Amino acid sequence: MGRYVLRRLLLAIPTILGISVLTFLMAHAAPGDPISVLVPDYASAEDIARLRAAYGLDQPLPVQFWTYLVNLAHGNWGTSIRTGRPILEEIFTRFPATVELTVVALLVAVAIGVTAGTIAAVRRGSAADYITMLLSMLWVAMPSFVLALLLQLLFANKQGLPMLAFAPSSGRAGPVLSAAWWASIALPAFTLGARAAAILARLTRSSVLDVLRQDYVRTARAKGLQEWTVIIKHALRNAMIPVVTVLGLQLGGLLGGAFLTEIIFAWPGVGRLGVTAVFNRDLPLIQGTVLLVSIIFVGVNLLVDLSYSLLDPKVKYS
Amino acid sequence: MQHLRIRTVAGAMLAALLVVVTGCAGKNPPDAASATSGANRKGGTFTFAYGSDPTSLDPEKTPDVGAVHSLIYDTLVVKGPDRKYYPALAEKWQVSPDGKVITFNLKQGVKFHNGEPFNAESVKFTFDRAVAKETKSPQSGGFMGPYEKTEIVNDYEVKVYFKEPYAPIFQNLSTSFLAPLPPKAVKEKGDAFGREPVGTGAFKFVKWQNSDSIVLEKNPDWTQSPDWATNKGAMLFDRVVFKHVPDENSQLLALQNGEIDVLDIPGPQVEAIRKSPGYQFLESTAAGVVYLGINSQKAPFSDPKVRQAIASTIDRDELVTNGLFGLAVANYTPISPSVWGYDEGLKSKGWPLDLAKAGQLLTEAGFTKNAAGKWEKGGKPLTFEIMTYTSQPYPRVAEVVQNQIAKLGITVTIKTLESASLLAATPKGEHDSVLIAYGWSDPDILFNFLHSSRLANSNRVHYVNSDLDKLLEQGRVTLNLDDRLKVYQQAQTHILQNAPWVPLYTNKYITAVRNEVKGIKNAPDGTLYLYDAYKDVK
Repeated sequence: MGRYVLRRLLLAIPTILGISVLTFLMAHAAPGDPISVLVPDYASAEDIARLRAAYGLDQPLPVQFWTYLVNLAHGNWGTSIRTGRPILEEIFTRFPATVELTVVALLVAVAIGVTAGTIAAVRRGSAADYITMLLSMLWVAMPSFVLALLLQLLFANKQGLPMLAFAPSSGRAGPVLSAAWWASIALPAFTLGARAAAILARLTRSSVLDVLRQDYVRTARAKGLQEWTVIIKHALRNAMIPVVTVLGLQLGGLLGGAFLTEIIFAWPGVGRLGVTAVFNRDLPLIQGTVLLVSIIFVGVNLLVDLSYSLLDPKVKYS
Repeated sequence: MQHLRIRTVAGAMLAALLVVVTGCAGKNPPDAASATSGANRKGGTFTFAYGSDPTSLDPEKTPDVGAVHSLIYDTLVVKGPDRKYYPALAEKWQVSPDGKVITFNLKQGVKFHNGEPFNAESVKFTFDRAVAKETKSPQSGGFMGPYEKTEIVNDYEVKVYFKEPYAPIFQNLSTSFLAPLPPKAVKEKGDAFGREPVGTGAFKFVKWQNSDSIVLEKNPDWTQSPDWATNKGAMLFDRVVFKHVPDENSQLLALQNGEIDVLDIPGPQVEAIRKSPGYQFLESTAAGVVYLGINSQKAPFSDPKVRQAIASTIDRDELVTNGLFGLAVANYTPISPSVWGYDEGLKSKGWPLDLAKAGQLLTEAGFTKNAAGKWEKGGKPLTFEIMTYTSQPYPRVAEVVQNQIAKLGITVTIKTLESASLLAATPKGEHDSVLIAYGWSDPDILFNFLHSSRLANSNRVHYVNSDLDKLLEQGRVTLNLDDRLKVYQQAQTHILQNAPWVPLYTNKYITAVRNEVKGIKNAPDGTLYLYDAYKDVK
């Protein structure tokens, strides 16, 4: 197990390095550079050249990349060209809010998705099954900004339905876990989690159905165990392997994909940072945010793989 | 600058001007001392919404300044509602006969928020720092023009030397980009100054939480109120809060819920908001122009007649109605009606809508109309590509213009690019035309877009003409306002007649302010005046 983890961690290094090279090349291949976006669009060629030199952008690409790597190896992610602040500071003043949102969204997704999917599978062909699958189809198809606007109009509009308007229209409030915090995170977390919940519901349903057809489930039933014990203790645990895999991918997606939700609800997270960085051609910030997301993706995937052995003792790593 | 500009003053991009800002209704308890029983007091919290975090609150290290900067910092001069410059931190000034030296007499007894005195040293420090290489200033350095040095005469008098006269300096000095900074605090804080700014302004910085909010509190010692304000003391609001609300719909909802106090209403929503009770409305005109720039070095547009023909197809009134929800004013000149130098009389110098005249101009340029009703020359059809931004309203405006030009018998295509790509594409000169905007409050801005020395970068229409060059150079060095106005009348006439630019319109803003806010006013260009504004606080 320990060796497996070590091997995976070592393999992550070339993966992340490869992503860094690609990000670097793509960011530099795009037309426009950080200086042309930073200065007014009528700046003189001399002013632009002066600033370009000041930021080392006049160096050949390999030199710039090497400098970036050397700094990175020293734990220096660079400074944002636009704000002049360290990349790590830019990211980590916003990262906790994104983590909060992602975790609550994930809880929403698992609570709704796994429950609904299991019920749909057990009651296959029933009205509950059809309604669950229909709703999940709808949620997968509905763009998150539409859901966000609907939720805002229902639950954050004091002039519409004051009885329901429990949430602020946007923004993050209060210390974590306080009542004000829950009110402010409810709508964005639901918006973000709904799609993942729908995907999980459909996946859980088919996975549970598969497992319910297995011999050992028949054996468990033959032993005279109660139906819900069979489902929760025996079936669900095995059915969770594909669900956890997707969950891992979803978590990465949620962390990086909270962009729209964060904008609509003015959630002070990291989602917008990377996109703004692209528009501003803020190269160090683009590299920093992509690097962070890729590290999270690699890390979450490792955790997902390790969790298989917990769910299914037959899975062993060496 | 003691007034508040709701829109950010960004370089020359009108696209970046629409801002956010709104306030929450007096949720902060009033000072215990003034909370006397029953009696109302003028104060409260004024809340704006903002779309994205400011780059830096150090005005010399940011490419854009906005409301936050203008509340924290005062400027040497301010622009009045009549577009003239008035004393602020500078009590008076005098320009030398050769125009190269400006002597400023400074206001005495003013202190920065940290207690440092405002004096000649802070002015010299600010100007020297703007142009210093290590400041890496994206904007302020350029704003000093041909700056040479600042000489301290005594504690409250400085002489600012320029290598040649520089007329735009007063406009530049009226922006936060050149607001005097406290030398000691800047040196002590280093890079952190941009996050913990210290100025002399009407409000002091309290805190800034990334992507969440910026909070300012009243500076009780502030006395820089201008002539046109009734209140001569400190401002009345206790606090000003900037709330981060990036999404347009969420901003509107926040205004309706009273979570913010003021908002520029987006075009499609104006009608609905106008009908609902609870708001007062302020109207203003942007300090810029949206125009169709035609590449004057690319055939067949290198022939002025072809450009003039295209200009003659534009129906600005239809454009404003159909493309812009009426939230714009048709503009026939390269300067905005809210900017000094605008002259409505110049309208007749350009090419008003006249399709017959357009056809005649094309015929004179050697084009003939083929059987399909399209113009061609030597068997080659006349086609035209409009390059513009991907963000609205540009694509919508481009479509209206496309249809208008098509009526003449010219096939028009549209290509949209996001901002950085578009700005990088135009210096190559391969485009036919570009639908773009600028926003600035001094006509000298035209130098950057139409002078031949700017071919490599911001002269996006590749226009080269020595007559216009001379006029633009003259406008830059003429400090006498009457003489300067004449120069810019000639320059604008030249631009309109030769049509490297076809000016289209200037944006109009409808700013909604919640009725709890009393006494708020604005300037013609939308700058909010908070001097007399307050809420009733119990």
